[in-house]
Amino acid sequence: MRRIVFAIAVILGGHAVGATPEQVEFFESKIRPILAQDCYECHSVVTKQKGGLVLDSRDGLLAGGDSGAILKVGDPAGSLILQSIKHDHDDLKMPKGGAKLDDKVIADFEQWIRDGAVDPRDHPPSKEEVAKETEWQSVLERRKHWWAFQPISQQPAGKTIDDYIDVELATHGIPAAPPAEAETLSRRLSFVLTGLPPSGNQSIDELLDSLAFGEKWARHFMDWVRYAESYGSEGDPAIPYAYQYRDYLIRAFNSDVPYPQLIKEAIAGDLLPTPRIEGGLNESAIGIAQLRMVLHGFSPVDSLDEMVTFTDNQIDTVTKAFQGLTVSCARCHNHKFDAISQADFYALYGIFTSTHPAVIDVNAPGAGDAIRAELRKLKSEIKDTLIKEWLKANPKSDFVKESDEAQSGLVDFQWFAEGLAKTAAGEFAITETGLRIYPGGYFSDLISSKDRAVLFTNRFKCSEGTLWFRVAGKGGVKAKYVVQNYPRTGTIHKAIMLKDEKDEDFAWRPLQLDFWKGDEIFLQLTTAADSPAEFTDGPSWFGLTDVRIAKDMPAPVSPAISTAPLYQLITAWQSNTLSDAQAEALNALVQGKKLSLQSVEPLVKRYHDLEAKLPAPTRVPGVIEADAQDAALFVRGDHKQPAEDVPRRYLEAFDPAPFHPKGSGRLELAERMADMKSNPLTARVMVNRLWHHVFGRGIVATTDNFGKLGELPSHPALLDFLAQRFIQSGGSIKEMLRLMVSSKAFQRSAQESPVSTQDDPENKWLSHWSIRRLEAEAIRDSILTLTGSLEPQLYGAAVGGGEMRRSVYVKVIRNSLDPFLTTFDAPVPFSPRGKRDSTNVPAQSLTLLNDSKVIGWSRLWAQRILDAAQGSADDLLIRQMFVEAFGRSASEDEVAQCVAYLQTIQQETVKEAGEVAAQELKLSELNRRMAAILEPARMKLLAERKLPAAPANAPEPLCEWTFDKDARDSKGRLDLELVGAARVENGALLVDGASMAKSGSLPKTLTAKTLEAWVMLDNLTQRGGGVMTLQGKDGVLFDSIVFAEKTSAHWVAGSNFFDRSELFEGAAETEATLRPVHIAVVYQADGTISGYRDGKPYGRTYRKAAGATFEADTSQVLFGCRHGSPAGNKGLAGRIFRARLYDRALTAEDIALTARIEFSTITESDILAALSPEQLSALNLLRTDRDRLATALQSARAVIPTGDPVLQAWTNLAQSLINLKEFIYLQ
Amino acid sequence: MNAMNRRHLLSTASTGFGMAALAGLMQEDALASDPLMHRARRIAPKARSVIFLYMSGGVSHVDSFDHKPMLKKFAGKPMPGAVRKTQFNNNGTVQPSHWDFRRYGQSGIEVSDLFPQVGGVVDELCMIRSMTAKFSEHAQGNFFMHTGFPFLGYPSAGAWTSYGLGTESRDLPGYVVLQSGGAATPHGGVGLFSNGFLPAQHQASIVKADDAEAVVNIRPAESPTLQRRRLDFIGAMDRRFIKTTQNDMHVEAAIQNYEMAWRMQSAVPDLCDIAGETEATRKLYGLDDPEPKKAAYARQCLLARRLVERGVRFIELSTLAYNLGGGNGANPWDHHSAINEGHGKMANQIDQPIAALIKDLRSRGLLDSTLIVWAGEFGRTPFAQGSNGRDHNPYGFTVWMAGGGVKGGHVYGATDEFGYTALENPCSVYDMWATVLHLMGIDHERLTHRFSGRDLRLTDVHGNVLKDIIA
Repeated sequence: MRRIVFAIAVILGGHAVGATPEQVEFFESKIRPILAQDCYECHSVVTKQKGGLVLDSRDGLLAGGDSGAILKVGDPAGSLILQSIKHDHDDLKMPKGGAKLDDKVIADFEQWIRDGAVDPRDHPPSKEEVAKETEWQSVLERRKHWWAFQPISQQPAGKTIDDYIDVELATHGIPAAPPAEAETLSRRLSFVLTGLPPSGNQSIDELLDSLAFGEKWARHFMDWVRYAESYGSEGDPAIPYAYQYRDYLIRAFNSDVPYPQLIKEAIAGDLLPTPRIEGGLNESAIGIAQLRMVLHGFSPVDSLDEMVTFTDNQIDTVTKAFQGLTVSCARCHNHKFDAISQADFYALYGIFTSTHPAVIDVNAPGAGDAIRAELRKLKSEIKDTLIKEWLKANPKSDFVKESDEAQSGLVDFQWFAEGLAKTAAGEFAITETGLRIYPGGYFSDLISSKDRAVLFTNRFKCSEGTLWFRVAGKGGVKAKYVVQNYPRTGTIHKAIMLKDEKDEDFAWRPLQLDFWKGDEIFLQLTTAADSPAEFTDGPSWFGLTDVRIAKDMPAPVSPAISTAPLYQLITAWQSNTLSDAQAEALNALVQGKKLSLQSVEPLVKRYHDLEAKLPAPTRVPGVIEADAQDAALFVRGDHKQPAEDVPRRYLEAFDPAPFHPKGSGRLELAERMADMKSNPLTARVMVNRLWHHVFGRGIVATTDNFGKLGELPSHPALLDFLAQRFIQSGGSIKEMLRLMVSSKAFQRSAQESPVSTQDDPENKWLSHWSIRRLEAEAIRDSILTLTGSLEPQLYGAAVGGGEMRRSVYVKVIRNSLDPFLTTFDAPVPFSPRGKRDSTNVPAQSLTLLNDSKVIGWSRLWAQRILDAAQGSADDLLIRQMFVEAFGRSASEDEVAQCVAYLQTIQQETVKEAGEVAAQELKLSELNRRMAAILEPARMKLLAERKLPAAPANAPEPLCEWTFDKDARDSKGRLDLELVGAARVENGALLVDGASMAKSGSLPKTLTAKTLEAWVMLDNLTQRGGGVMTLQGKDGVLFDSIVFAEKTSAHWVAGSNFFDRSELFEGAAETEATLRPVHIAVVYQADGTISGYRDGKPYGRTYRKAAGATFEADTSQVLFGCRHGSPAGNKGLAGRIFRARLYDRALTAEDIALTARIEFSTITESDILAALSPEQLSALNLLRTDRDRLATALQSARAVIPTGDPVLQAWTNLAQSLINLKEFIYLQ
Repeated sequence: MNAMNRRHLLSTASTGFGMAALAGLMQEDALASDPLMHRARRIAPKARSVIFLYMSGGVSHVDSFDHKPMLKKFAGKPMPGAVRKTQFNNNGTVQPSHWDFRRYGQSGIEVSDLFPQVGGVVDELCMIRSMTAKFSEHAQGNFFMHTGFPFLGYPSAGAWTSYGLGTESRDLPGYVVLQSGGAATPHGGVGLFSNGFLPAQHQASIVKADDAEAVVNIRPAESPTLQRRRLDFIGAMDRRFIKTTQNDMHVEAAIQNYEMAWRMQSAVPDLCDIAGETEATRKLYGLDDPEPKKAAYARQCLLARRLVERGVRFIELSTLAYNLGGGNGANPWDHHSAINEGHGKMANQIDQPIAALIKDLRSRGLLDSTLIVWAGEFGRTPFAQGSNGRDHNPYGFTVWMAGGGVKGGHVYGATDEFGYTALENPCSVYDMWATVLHLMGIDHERLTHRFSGRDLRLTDVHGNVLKDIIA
């Protein structure tokens, strides 16, 4: 068969024999360029012969490949080549990789085959010929014809959205659904515009004007720019102040900042000639925070690779988010399908790598200037006063001639500075205790250590040797080198840390450079709060007087200190002619208290008072312009193979002209991307994004990709109509949304016609409303709304998912994303996400059914309903709940069903509670019988040892651990798990400083509480070990009985960062190694804390802060560890004989009683030893029974509702309503 | 969307886990009609399940499975040749192995005294001694090893497998990560087990083998009676609602999900309840070993077998840390110092349980259809870090496979004579996953998902099936 085809082909498809010039022309213009540009890469004699096929000559085409002949001349349908380019063939879909050729091109091929497949290429091409035919410029020219690159078509005036929708419906013969009912529409509008359920009957305008609007739409924008609050990877460090960007977006959407402005701000907001200044902030500058939402690796050995990766992420984000283009696909080669060259990628790469990662200050220009001026004035008064005083005390003397000073190494670098400038000798800082007089250099605290300062050099190639900084500072400042813009510090990215008082003295401090030889680095010093990674928020300062890079050199010689007479120094300061050496000398005298500061004390106080009023910088992640450079193109994307530099510019498909920018080129880039008039993608991409969130499906369904692998627009003219309207409005998002939601198409019901079901299952033609699931945030926010406790507070640092704030404020920590939101398809932030998944997974059902937060929220809702009921009948309450949850009234039938359900639950609950109560009784009976055996023995022992009797009326704890045999809670609520080498032995829990015991979740939430333990220590020299701790399971929030944390041998109520800790000022512990001591700490709900030792008050009672609340489900008890896990000095070495946890603050009288429960010298094993064999066996039997019952009860208790059965039943109903599909779906 | 647009639904709604339910829902065999499976599964599969024994932190290959006598010869001398950048830049002299090596089995493959019991089943093992990675940092290495990319956002191999093949279990997910005894998630976090851009049902379910709440939210806070009542109530109300949506498919699938969740609530405890295992099995695995971490790991190994029996596709296990020499929770093998003590304890933890798993699967006739993959994110340097540690070495290290269609008692590839760099048949992570997918019956080049403008794969644009290791 193949042979025959071949023969026919020779005759019909032969070289122009009988072929008309038109046929040849057709091939040359329509077929040949396609073969060359889309096929030769894999099917040419000079490239590859994939599948044994070459398409670069007539013979090749006719010979076919491994799958046989590909061309049946005259028979397009029978030709494999056509089947494969039409993607009709099962296996062969060409060109490979998924991009189907344009329909027009396919039609050309069809015609060409039908017309005889004339092919004048009678010999295989040479390498040069192929290169010429596949030349990028011609490929680009052809690809530029792609629809999305064409100018926006002018649409006739007076049209509406519905005109465009209706014409398609008519064409396809699909009837439109009737309008939705008012309450359905109200719910729909409210969710689409504000992400919240409707409250009352709000109009479209009211919804658009509500603050909730910004919270909803900012979250969409956050998806587009992969918003995150940490960098990911090992350590997952915070992106400093990331939440400021979220707040900025909320404000921007609420004040309807024009879209082009938003794009400009996202790329170059810090560089705009006329930024938006609002509320004391440079809002525009905050926009660039998105550039810092990149991911960073941990301590990369290949830092250039790391820079390529995160710069790629920046490019990927801005091009996808704002242009719907996948420019980062062109990092290794020209784009496979779109009009994007590899050079385009590196043109943008050069722009983004010409900036340094940073924290920027977005206070409006001039913020605090008046105070600063006054502070400066005060400083000069201070100086004048000092000089006057000092001169008085130091008589005139002769001047000594001093030798010239050595040049500082600072001149060897180009410096970029923000918040500080190079100053000459004699500048000084007012410190807490006095002042520091500086030599020449850079100093961040000339006005205040509240001020920010960022200092770095130009980039340079790192050489071997040692980098020496002569620096001083405090507060967590890092003096460092930065390799390839990598902002973190780690094992091989080293920094000098200036933290403590000792670091406040200027000294030469070294860093080895050998590791990074050949890499591009720059030097950097920032105030601690301005470090772009691993920052410390708070005051700090630094000064830099000199820097050197030297090979094989001992520490550079410290600068000379002048030996001139004091008089000379003072007058030099007075006349501003101090040399560096003199400044050092003068400063040394001040620090050594050789010169009195007494005369300026009132001035210094005034200074500090005024300084306190200085506004703090408003810090935001960002970048800072540095020494800008074009970047080299990396051959095949390999960063070890740099080729020629690519000038910084925008995509050549739009404008190949280089920017020749003054700075990085961001401003120029921003302008081109934001120019809706000349750039057809900008408006189209954005209106399509809005459309997607309004209608559930974009006109271009692939919202992030308008390229060839994206989908074609369903309504191209409508898209251009919307884009045109958007441009006319200057890019008003609110106006565009108003237009969309006012359309009839938006307001249709979900009633689907049979025709639509049949012909348009995806509802592409919008004949009706497409039901869709609410987004994760809307589900959570709806539930919180029902509780009535949704906090309306806007803005601020991110919160945990358990807090009652809208979901947009929930933390986005890359390595631990919020489980609730993630379960409902909130995206993983790494790349723009215009379209979220909407999946159905059991984790969603399990969350809504069993998650303790959801249950708690349901209880709040039920409580609110009951509180407001005031005796209303159940059916009224149920009706109210339906309105709140579903935005509609309940039917009679539904009400009846709910009432019946409530009754069933109540009955079942009572029954189950009764069963458990009976078992509880049985358990206490068993405990009583055990006590009846144990107590007499105990009393006897006590009597023998002449100890006071244990009290009968001591308060009952919530949980108690006696460690008589194991680590169980004798109350059966909170058994312990032993961690590490911890063990229970001889009636005590043994911990060794590296081990601990921990419990599961608290049975109830605790604020007021008492911790009590009987403990013996292995030694009294240990520091910081926790005896008994209540903590959040993440180990952050905690209250603990701690031994010797701040002061040796003293008991202290430890807490996170000492938030609630002060010294009790009790006596030093001396006995705890000889006998167990009783230690209790009582926490009142208001934060008042008292300590007790052996039943007596230990030192003083104090209140430092509000009491900490430990949530039932997320908190636990630890023994032997201060918090978290027993690393560092958190572990205790000793034995705990007994411990009790109370759910209330005990009184001094209570404690006096409880202290007597256990006495040092009597242990459980003592008691057991005192029992008769009969008693022992009876006891063991009882114990077995008790343990079995306690275990059974423990799981029963976990599911048995406690508290008010009515509330319980309503909680159950409330939660069930939340579980209804109607609640999470939008009709 | 109430039309039977199955293709769309299958690719976006409840597949995998939910596949069975949907199959029932649509009154037809969903598996057979899934276009993806049809396209992906082109090769006769040898294995049905993968057990991924992940050695987070990086095991020293020169102390375990790659014997290098030269280290003894050069002990204490500077490392000959160029030394590449290391993460701690605290490179010492050549450090010989702390363990002796001996030959095991008919194949006579050398294994160190760290792994005597695994040595005992060496004839089942196919060692790849020429593995390479691109990153010498844990998080990136972990992501790379799991997803083929160094950052979060991409689907894990387990997710790809679930996506490609679904699960054979009605009540359990296709991809399970086991943890026990406080084992931590490796650096990078749970994103390592993510579905990335694939539909969410392919993400791993973390099963805490010894926790009362083995899967998050699997334990109802109410009695089974009450919960059944609740589900019936919800079901009745939902049926009312779905009528108003003209039986929308997505809503229907969401309704079905509740029944699946209900079944899972008993399937998971049933999986974790090992009371029915024999004494001999307990002994074999070391379930009652006095060393609690070993007992905990043994439990994971046993549960892995039970998951295989239940048709789960991809099971990953997690080792437990001793906090020695840098090997902490997220990276238990990471012994930058005290490697002697650290590796000794770690190997003791896993040696018996892993050998037991292989023997147990073999005796139950499951080894042939279960592919075991043992791998960390990199190896360790042949020269010391400090005095007695080893730094990360991604340039050449050992991984091994067993069962599931690979050659037993076979060695593939080799490092140089110091164990520093893979020389013979260097192998990449892409090659490893290409081979695993191949053995599962999937052509790795065909298992693609279009995301954001590209057809993405587990093997990116790389990967060659290691034909030489296939039996």
